[in-house]
Amino acid sequence: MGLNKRLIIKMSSLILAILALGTIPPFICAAYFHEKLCMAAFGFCTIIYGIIGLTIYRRTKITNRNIRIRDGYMVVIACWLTACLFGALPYYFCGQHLTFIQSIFESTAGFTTTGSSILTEETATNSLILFKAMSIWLGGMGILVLVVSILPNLGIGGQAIANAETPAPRIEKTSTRISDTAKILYIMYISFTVIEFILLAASRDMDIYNSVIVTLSTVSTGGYIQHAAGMMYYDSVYVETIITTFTILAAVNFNLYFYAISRRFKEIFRDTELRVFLGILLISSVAIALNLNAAGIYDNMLTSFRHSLTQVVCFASTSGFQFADFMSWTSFAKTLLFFLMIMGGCAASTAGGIKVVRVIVFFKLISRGIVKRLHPRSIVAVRISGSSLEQKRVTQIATFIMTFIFTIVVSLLIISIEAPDLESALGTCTSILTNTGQVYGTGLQELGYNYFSDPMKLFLSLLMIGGRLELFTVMLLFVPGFWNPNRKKIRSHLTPITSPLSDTSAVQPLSSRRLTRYSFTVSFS
Amino acid sequence: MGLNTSRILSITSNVYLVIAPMLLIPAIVSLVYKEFKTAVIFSLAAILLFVPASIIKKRFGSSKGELTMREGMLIIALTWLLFPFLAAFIFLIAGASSSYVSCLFEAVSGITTTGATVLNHLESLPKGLLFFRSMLQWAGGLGFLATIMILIPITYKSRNGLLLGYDPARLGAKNFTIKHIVTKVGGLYLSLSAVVCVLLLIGGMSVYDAVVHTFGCVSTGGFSSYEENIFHFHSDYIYSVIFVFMFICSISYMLIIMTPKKRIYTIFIDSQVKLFTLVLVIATVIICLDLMINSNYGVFQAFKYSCFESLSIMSTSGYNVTNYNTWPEFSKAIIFILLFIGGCAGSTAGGIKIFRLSILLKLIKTSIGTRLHPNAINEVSYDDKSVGGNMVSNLVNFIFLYVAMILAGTLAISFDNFDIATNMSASASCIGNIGPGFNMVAPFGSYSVFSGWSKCVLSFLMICGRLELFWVIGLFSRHFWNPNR
Repeated sequence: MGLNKRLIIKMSSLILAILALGTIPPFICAAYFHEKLCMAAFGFCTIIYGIIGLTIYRRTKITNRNIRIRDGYMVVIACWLTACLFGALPYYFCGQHLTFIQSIFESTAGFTTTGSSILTEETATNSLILFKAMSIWLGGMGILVLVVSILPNLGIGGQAIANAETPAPRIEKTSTRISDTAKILYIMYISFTVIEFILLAASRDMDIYNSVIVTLSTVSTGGYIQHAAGMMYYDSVYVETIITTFTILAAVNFNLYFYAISRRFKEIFRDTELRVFLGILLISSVAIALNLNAAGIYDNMLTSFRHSLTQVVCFASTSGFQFADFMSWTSFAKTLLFFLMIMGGCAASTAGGIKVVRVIVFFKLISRGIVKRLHPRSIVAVRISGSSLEQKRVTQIATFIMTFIFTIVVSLLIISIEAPDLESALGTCTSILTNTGQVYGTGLQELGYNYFSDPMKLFLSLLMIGGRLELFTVMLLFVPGFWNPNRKKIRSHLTPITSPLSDTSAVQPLSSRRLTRYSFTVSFS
Repeated sequence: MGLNTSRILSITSNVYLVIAPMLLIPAIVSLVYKEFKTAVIFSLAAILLFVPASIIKKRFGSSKGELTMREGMLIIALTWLLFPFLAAFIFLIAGASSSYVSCLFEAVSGITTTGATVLNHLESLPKGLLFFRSMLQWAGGLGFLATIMILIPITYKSRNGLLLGYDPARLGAKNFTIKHIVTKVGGLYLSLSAVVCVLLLIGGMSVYDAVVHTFGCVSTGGFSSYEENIFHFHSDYIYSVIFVFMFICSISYMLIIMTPKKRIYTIFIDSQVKLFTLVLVIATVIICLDLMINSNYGVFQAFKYSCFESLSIMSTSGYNVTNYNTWPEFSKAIIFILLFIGGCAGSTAGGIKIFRLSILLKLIKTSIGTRLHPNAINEVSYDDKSVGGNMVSNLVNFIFLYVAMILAGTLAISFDNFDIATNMSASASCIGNIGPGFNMVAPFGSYSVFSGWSKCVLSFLMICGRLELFWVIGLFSRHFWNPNR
């Protein structure tokens, strides 16, 4: 019972084809700005991607349309590796004196919406920056979900794939009358992008080119910007308001927009996660503003609040724009920002981190634990948004959080081999794992991620992919049972995709008949 | 389901009746060193404690019967939470520090066997007071052992039995009774103390120093009469005595008394001890290599420092022979992670405890498997025995609460505007009952830099960490005060 290799290859080749499309705008951009080397590089890449992708795609015939869970994970891994590796080529060719590993870091930071960059302001060309922003935008919603949504007729099981790519815990029941939800979600995503672009371009503070870059990296919570000074370069309240608003919109559970479209506002107000998320944003920004004001870092309360709110939103949504010189803030503010980074945005959004809903479950589990100590025989359900969670899902959330902590601990060790101080090591592994990408740590202020050697950058890239795919998908690769599933003593049933994978699944069958064709409800992380 | 107030008060007064006469020992020490003021304070404190306790004892008499969970918790609160507040007065009046909060921190640090200090210039303080401080640790260690043994029946009844890390009945002690175990463990504690004391005396310490360091070593506390604690002696012999006994004292006492004396080496078969030793060896080897490569230490020196410091942190003692804050970052990161691990359950060591860690790792491994085979049923086993769902969920709750409290503590003390490494290591160090941390609270330093508010927070963390979190946190639950709700 081997892997469905043909399917994996076919999907990966499709990714290459998408990449080929993705290199066309940077090519045009390079032509516009007369960047000859980059023009050649992007032209070359377009052709290479196109030829390889389409040839393999046409030559590969899928004989077995059955996707097992392992295949789903493998497809996701293969596609992400393809995107990150092949996506590194433009950086390598564009003459920025990057080694190949540095290019991989740069490209991975793009697709995983980490948004960190080792290109400096002087060396980066406009077209390259556009390419990076495009890769962030593509990665924001999940490349494979894009494939599933635009090519339903492929007949491949999008469920197992989306399951592996976006394993965010799904809490509320989305009973769907809208067919092909993935498509609508992408329309949502695109319309956010367009609206934000228009609003930004309309302002005098930002030119069209930068509006595109910032927009692409805002809605995907990537947080990539051309200027080393971050958003402080513009120092405009209008721009900051727009970006903060759209960052919050992008960090909210995308399922809620379904409800908004189908006019079920009650469901939105009932959503615990949203309320908690907004509450946390408000409380932390007020707390930080008060603290900054008391410490006398900014002149007045209003300025403090402006800087604290923007920075809080950008850390909690793991986008990681820099709105202020937060490393010079008080320890309280920095610590709180650090915790917000770990928390991350809502489930099924483009944000990273542990996710708000899991944090809620985390605290509910603690309080349940106390009750259980006092009343050992009591049975207390963990309730969210008015309905109780299945025990199985609670277990999965608990193990996810533990795995997350464990991953931070292990990567802290590895990063500390090179890190200048403990704070930087802690900040780097968290920032990278949660796909925030903001440089956190006094020792790293000067060089940024260039401080680390090439092998370490490769490790950071792996960490980024691990964080983007929520750990387990990557971790599975290191489990012997994954490669040889029949070796285990306990033989388990490998569930065919037609059975509902309710536990982590972001996907629910509309009906079993339609599922086998092409309709899926997909949510994103 | 009401509380049996008279039983609670009678047991609590019993505890204080034991504590009060013990206060006379530092009084005698003070007399020997001709510190009459402190001697008077101690004897006065002894009387002030003894009289009310005996009155309460007389009034409520002795009562028997099994304790319920809530009664147990209240007794713990009345002893563990109340006593530090009283002991802090002794520090205050004896002139250890001018602020009550600092004295409270010092008392809590003693009674919880943490060993973090806010006192500077230890050498200039009255010797009787320093003796009292160390004795507090020793008594705290003994008190903790007694507490967990009293809790055994309660926890078994409520199916929370993993407090010890294993089932004592499995170790071949047939017909084991609590009384039997209490006597044996107490005896072991005393004899270990005697042995350490004699060995330290042979190493050339004065009687006073030997006793003080015995107290700190056996209780895995880490108080000393010198600012530079063990490093003060510059003697490899003393280092190794302390090293060996830190190791022994962070192994489960129950395990030691239940292992047949002739085959005492079989202790290493126990999975907890095995893992503890394994982690220790790995940490030592890595730090040793790192120090040899990235620092200018010689092989012997690197080995000495790495193994002593790793064990000191893992056993949650906090004795130091060098300042690890000057080590390379990689070694520091390892020490930082060791701050969370702690020793074996059933000893005086704190931290998350090694058995929880081993189950945690198994849980993570299982959960990865579950992703792949969602319908497979995987059980977590420990010591070849399946760990029930209830215990797993207790354990997960414990670790979550532990992490949450460290993070909350880090945030709470960040108002003092120290760096995040200082704050996080101070929180982790206090909740794990260790003592030293990083940067501002590095070895040989003191917590006196923190504000009063931070000291309160850290004291609270120490008590919570010592009493396995739930025994204190539970008091704040409304379900505790209104169980029928």
